[in-house]
Amino acid sequence: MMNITSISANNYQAQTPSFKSQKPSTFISLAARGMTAAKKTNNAYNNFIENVLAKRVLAPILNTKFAGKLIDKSAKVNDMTSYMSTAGSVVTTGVYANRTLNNKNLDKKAAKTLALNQGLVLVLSTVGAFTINDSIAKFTKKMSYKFRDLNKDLPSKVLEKRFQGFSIAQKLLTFSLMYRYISPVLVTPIASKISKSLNNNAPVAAKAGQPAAAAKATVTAVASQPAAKAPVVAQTPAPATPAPAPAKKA
Amino acid sequence: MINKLPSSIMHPYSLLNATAPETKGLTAKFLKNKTVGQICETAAKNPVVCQSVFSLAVCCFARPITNMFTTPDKKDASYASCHSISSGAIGFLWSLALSTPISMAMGAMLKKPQKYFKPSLIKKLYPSVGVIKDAKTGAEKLMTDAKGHLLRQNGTLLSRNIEPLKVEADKAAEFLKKHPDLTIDKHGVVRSTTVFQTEHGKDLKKEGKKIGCALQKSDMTPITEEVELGIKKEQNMASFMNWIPDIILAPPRAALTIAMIPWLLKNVFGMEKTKKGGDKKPETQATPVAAANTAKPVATATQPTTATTVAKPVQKIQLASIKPAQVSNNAKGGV
Repeated sequence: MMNITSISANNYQAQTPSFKSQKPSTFISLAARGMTAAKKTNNAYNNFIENVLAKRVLAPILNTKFAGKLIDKSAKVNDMTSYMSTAGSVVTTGVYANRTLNNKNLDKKAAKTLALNQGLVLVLSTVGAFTINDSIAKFTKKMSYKFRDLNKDLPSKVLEKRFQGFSIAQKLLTFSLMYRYISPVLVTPIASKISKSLNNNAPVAAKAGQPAAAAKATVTAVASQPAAKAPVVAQTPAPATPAPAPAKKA
Repeated sequence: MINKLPSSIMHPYSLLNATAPETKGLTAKFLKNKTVGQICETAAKNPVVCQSVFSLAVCCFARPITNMFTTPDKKDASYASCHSISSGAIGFLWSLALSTPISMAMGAMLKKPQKYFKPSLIKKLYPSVGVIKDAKTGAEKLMTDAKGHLLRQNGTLLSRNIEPLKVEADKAAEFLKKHPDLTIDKHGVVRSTTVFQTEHGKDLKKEGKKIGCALQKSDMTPITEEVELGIKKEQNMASFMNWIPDIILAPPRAALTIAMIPWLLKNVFGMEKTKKGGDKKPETQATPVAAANTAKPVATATQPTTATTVAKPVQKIQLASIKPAQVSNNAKGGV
């Protein structure tokens, strides 16, 4: 009996593979190293976030008296997302408009028209986005109730965040669509008409006798050539060269 | 219109008290969708990234589709589409790289505010937090338990979750027996009979009666106006900190977009604007107003052009010739 037990135990040991003495394969070794490196990187990143960015950068800013006053006043703001999104767009548009107006290689009129177009897009987008958000506020409210009721099975913290984010997401979507898609498409013809009327009112050299294609020399043509070259070009008669592609399509 | 806006915006905390009718069909499917949920969560945590995701979707789908349908020249359309995709991608990557760390840092700070913020700031955000004054120095210290959790003035754990307590209709009678000093409204929300809801310090009334404050689900503490304002301040602060770097760093982002788009078009999409005859055409000629709306003005001016050979003695601007589809792919906000 004793012998049988020992034999079976030996058999078990003999048949069970042992990984202790074996070296891991190259793939496993590489994967393990990769995992360790990823963990270290992640830890370093988290450390950077908590101890550098949060503790040394953001916290000192928020702990100032000015920030405290600003936070107090922010209690009156109900729609921080919309205002911040608008502010971002105003700054960005300002940057581009400024670059356009100060571009030495651009004709002054062209620069003004381009800047006007940028301004129009901004104004229309902002007014449109606020109007749409205002008019669908009740609908969003109802949908957010439904959203909350349908997702009751989620943990309360997650649901609270998502419920809070529902209306924010709707507003951001409206802003993105207005600024990125609807307004630019709508404003272009308006800007074109304004620029047309501006140009018609302004005295233009050698206007008469120009072929239609030449008259359509686009803003690009004006914009892309150095200002110094303009008088030289102006002396040459309008060739029968086809206008650039966009002008042709008009 | 804009002035009316604040009044029309829903109050996130009062919303918690209401209930919605049963929803079925596509709307229910949409609202239950996991992606929709995740987008909402991202919008709450990191609105900047959320907006850039929407912009990316517009730039990658809406604009290219519009271009394809409205531009007769398919080469021009595909060029404009690639331009749009590049612009959206740069905006998204920029926001992701910039806002994610800030959003994470804000999350860490709001998780343990006592570790990062001064007591005065914490008191603004959580007015019911307990504060002890040092008898010798007069300095304020926050009340915390052994684990470092914030406490109320009465020594109970401070809960920052203002989800209201609700009781189902069949359990209402039993609940009221245990808590005779409370009431339950028609939505099942438990309300105090001693602490009342206020707005700007004045009592709110419904049918001539004062409305009792809803109670926090976690510890049945009344959700007063002060508490709501504190949470609102906290959310606005997080939102503000998330947006401000994005706004301040808009100029370098614009410069990056200007610099990167031609490179992306050439090296990622293999696109170079060519004339119909097959010769290379300067990129700038494709979208004149595009130039107005985006980074293009600078790119336009600096790139070599055939304009000298084509240009007429006309100093006119003919934007009427531009089609909406060609309107620029802007870096952000219609510019």
